[in-house]
Amino acid sequence: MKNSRVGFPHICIRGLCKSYVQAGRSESLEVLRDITLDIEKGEFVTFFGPNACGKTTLLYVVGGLTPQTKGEVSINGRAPHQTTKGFIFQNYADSLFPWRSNIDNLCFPLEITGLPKRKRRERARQFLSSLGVKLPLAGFPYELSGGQQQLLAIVRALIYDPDCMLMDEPFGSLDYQTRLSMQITLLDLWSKTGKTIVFVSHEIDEAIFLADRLVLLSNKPTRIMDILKVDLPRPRSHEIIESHEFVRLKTQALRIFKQAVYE
Amino acid sequence: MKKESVLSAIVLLSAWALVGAFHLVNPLFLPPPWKVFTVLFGLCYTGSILGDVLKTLYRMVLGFGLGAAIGIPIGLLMGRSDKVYRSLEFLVDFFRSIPVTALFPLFLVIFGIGDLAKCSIVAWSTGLIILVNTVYGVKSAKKTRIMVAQTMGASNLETFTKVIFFEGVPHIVAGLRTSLSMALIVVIVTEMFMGTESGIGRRIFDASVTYRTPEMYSAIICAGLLGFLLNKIFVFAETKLIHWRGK
Repeated sequence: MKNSRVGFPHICIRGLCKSYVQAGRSESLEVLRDITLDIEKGEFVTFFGPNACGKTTLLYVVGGLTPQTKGEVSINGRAPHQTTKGFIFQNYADSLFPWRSNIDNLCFPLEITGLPKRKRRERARQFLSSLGVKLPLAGFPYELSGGQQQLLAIVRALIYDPDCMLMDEPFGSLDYQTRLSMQITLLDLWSKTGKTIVFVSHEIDEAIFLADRLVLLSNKPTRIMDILKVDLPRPRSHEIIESHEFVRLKTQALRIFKQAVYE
Repeated sequence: MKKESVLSAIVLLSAWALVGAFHLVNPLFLPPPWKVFTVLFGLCYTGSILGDVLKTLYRMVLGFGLGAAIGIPIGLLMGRSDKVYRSLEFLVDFFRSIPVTALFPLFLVIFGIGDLAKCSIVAWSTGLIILVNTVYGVKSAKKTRIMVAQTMGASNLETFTKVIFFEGVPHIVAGLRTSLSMALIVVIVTEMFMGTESGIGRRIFDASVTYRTPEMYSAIICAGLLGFLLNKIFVFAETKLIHWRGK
């Protein structure tokens, strides 16, 4: 199933600017300044930058949840709100529907597309087994562990075959061990589905480990400081964190990060 | 029941019995427990109080149901649309501030002295509580969940019926529970002071003005039991139905 990597940009970001009007103030708050970036189909791109820079805002604009002030975004040649997205939030408990059983959470996007009930449950089961994901389907989300809940949210986003996946620090609330295993699981799901993934992280190891390309962002107003190509072999395991190439990338990324923070 | 609950009930009953046994209080005001319970048993045995309890329950449920049927839809609308909210906010807050007892004469004038007036008053007082809770529930829906539905292409209506409504349900039900005890209070008061032939309130009032205090206490105990049981049943159903609350 792995993507046929044709070289046309899948997500196109051109001169993107975003400012917020501030209550009771005349000047507006500039969050994003002139972001331009092309993301190829099936590519895994991570964003890394200082705290409270516009990472989440950038993801929201790309996902069509917030309108931009200037510039253009297109996914598959269409405006963001005309496309389907798998949006993953850091707070998995707040993104799942606790009144629905796990399987009905999984079925939610299929329900929106109008698939009848029996068919969508069948599809959900098939989908899980095709990905090799094991999740208890009968219970409710709040009975699952944090990692399982986020996994459920991720497969729920994947099940209706969205145009791209937008992930906002999805593993930020998980303990370290779960986080590492979720990274491996995510890479596995990615290689099986071939989705384009935009992933925001505030953890440099994670940002490098997952990425095809690492986008380094500045403080507000956020600009792209640099883009690092991560040429580490795949499939990856966490041993590569000790490799020369990884350490080199990390050193370079942190140097740019320091510039971004203290500029 | 917990051991502590049984114990405290026994302590209270014993104290009451002691007061009765040693004539510490004029028995006209506080008859001894054995006298009250004999009368209560007699009332239950002949079934004469059952009619009152059922009548009170009937008025309560009808008014409560009516209040919910009006309060929930308006609340949903107000919670969903800022325009509707802004239009009705002042009116709701104003009417909510009027003690419902102050409206008795008005309801009497409009609906007469029958069950319709009593049920309408219950509907009015419970409906306002339910409405406010519903608005709050809808407004406090988690943004993340709404965004999840939107990014998956849900229409505004789907987002509302499949997400926002369910987000509001725990608050709506909390409103129902609060207003259920309100309904009992209001029914009893209407039965006391708006002409009627039956009902627990009527029984309490009649017994008190004729100094049949054991009967009065019996009716009060019945009212308490009714409220207690209704609340227990409601809370039980609530925890079963809204299993996800606080999770």
